This record gives sequence, C-alpha cells and structure tokens, in this order.
Amino acid sequence: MGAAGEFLGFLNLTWQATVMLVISGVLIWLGIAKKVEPVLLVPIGFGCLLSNIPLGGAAEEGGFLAVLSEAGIHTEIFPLLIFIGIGAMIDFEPFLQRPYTILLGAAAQFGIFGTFFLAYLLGDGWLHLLDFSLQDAASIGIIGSADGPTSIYVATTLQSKYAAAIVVAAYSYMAMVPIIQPPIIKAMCSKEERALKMPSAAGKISQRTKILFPIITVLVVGLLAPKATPLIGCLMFGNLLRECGVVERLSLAAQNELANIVTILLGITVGGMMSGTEFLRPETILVFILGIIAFSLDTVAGVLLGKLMCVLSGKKVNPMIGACGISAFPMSSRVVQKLGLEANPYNHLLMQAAGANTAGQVASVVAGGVMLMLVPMFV
Amino acid sequence: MPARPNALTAITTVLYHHTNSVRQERSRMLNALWIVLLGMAIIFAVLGILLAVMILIGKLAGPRGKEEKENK
Repeated sequence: MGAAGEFLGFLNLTWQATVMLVISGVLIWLGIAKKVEPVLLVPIGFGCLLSNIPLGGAAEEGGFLAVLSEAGIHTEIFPLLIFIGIGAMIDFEPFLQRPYTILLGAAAQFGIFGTFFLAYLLGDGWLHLLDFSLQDAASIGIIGSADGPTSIYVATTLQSKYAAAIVVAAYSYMAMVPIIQPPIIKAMCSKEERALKMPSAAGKISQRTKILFPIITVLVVGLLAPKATPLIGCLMFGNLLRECGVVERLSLAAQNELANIVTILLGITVGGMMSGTEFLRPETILVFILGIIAFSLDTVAGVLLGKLMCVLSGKKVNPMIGACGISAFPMSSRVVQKLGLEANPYNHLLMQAAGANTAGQVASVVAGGVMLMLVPMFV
Repeated sequence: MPARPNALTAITTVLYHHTNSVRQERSRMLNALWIVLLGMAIIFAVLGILLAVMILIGKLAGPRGKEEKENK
C-alpha cells in the first residue's frame, strides 16, 4: 500500500468494517424508510457509519465519539438524563387507577432472569460455549427489561463486553414488539379470553395522589433496592416535574429539549460503540437471539399471571394485559388493544393495557436495580 | 501387576481436578439459580409493598368533596 495506505481510508477497509458499514446503512434505512424507531435508529446507524470509516478516528481514543462514550455512557449520565425526560412524558394515571397491574409488571420481568440463567448456562456457568461471564449474562438478561436506558445503565455498570450489542438489541426489539408478542398471546389466550371486556376505571386520580406517587415510589424502591435509586430517582423526578403543576417550563424542557438532546448524543454514541472488530463475533449473534427469548419469556410470564388474575377476579381481568407488563410503552398496549378489538369489536383495552405498561416501566427499573444488587454478591 | 505410585498420583490428580471442576460448575449454576429466585422474590416484594402503600395513599389522598362530585 505504501504511503497512500496511511491516508486513504478505502485502502484500509477490512471485511469487518465493510460489514458494519452495510449494517449502518440497514439501520438508517429501517429508521427512514420503514419508520422503525427512527429517533434512535437514525443516530445509532450514523454513529456506526462514523466509527467504521478506517482512519476516521471518530471512535478511537480522543475521537469525539470516544469522548462522548466516556462522558455519557461510562459515567451512566445519558441513560439517567433520558429517564428524566421519560418520567416527564409518562402519565401514570392509568396505572394509579388499577394499581394491581404492578404485579403484572413484576411477573413480566421473568424474561430478564430466565435469559440471564440461559446465557450463563451457555457461557462461563457450565457449557463454556460462549464467552459470557456472570456480568455479561446479567447484562444480556436485562434486554428483557424492554427498556433502552435501563439496559445501557446495567450493561455499563456491570462493564459487559457486549454493551453495544445489548443496547442495539434492546432498542430494536422494542420496535419489534408488534411482531414478537401477538403470536405468543394468541397461543396462550383463547378467543374467548381475548374478547373478555374489562370494567372501566372507578374514577379520576386526585392531584395529591399523582404528586405523592413519585415521592413514595422513590422512597419505597430506594429503601428496599438501593441500587435502583439513580434510575427510579430520575424517572420519578421527571414525573414529579410533570405532575406538580408549578414547574411547567421545566416539565416541557425535560420532555422536549432534554430528551431530544440526550437522545441524539446517546444514539450516535451507541452507534460509535459498534466497531467491526468488537461487534462481529458469534457472541453478538447469540446476544440478539437471547434478546428475543427475553422478550418472549416476559410475555409468557406476564400472560400467565394475567390468567391467574382473570380466574381470581371472576373474569374481570383480561389475561392479555399481562403481556403489557414489559415496559415497551406504548407498543405493547397497542398490540393488546388491537388483539382485543380483533376478538371483539367492542372490546377497548387501551387504558387498562397502558396501566400495566406504565407499571412495567417501574418494574423494569426495579429489576435493573435488583440485578445490580445481586450480581456483585455472587461474583 | 500393581500400579506404580506416580501413575496412581496422576490418576488421583486428574480425578480430583475433574471432580473439583464439576463441583465448581454446579456451584456456579446454583449461584445463578439463587440470583433468579432472589431477584424475582425481591421484585415482587418491593412492588407488592409499593402497591400496598399506593392503595393506602389512594384512600387517604383520594378525591374528596368537590373532586369526587366532579368524578361522578
């Protein structure tokens, strides 16, 4: 190659970089042409493009993507700031009208732990087929939280080698919830069960309850599972800004400016972590397969508890809303609403499903904190 | 012909390492199982307590008087 090889990027293209450039193109295409999570996939795809240009240096030490990664991902600042925005966007009223749905959220976290067990079994735990340590397995399991910021927070805190793949899997499967969940729900619930109507909520939730909810949640979760405090704290801080009614400017800033700016930075930084040599490994493919298993197990566990609630309540709970216990909000609620309407054209389950879905948001954060608490105890 | 002492030592060492590694693997998977069981138990406990507190708060700080009439 000679001297030209030192400054011409295409002379330094490896097969890994080429494959990653194609993947970045697919991500950008999915975002723009197919409108699959464009807010995330476009910046992630572009970050991936930048980081795989040979000699570009964007993701190498001192490069701007590496600096962003150091400042925002390794310090866990980006996911936490995103949570303030998410908290300010979420209306917890449907959940507060049916607080029992939090148990569906709890059950739907089984996907995290089931997948963790499976990943560890395939890795260092027993079979040694893949290079999955206990921390890696826990980080892979957390894809089942169906929550991008929680996945980033846990994977980076546990210093998993697969953080980039885990984050991409978590975000892309959230967009694929309408494909993953319906066949599982249909296989588990008969048409009669899917057609089951649920009574509407008793009444409005008072302003006092809405203000007390974020404060009480931080106290209860923080005191019982302290490792979840940063995540639940930021989520509930954002929600307090929304509900207290006296800081509308801050609430709007959290929902718009803060969330948008951090999403841009987070997306491009995560894309920057997808360098060919790190990303193209058999383990990465397994991370994606385990991600689907995590989402499926979440759905199965949620629907099973939904069925139990259906029996115990004398058929007042549609078991399908158990599938909304995952925190993929609002995709999961829409899936259940659609399936409900297919089975019975007068069966509107959107609000009930949204209750379980927002409960799942809280539950997934608690699950992330619990994972961070338990894993170091057993390392 | 009786086995030579150094051959016996080698066999014993291999057997010891094999048994030890099996034992270690079993203990690793047992730890993973504990994480699964404890994890789910803690999640249900934390969220169960949160549910109880929220039901209580809903009763104590629920809509009163004018707000309740508006709801009706």
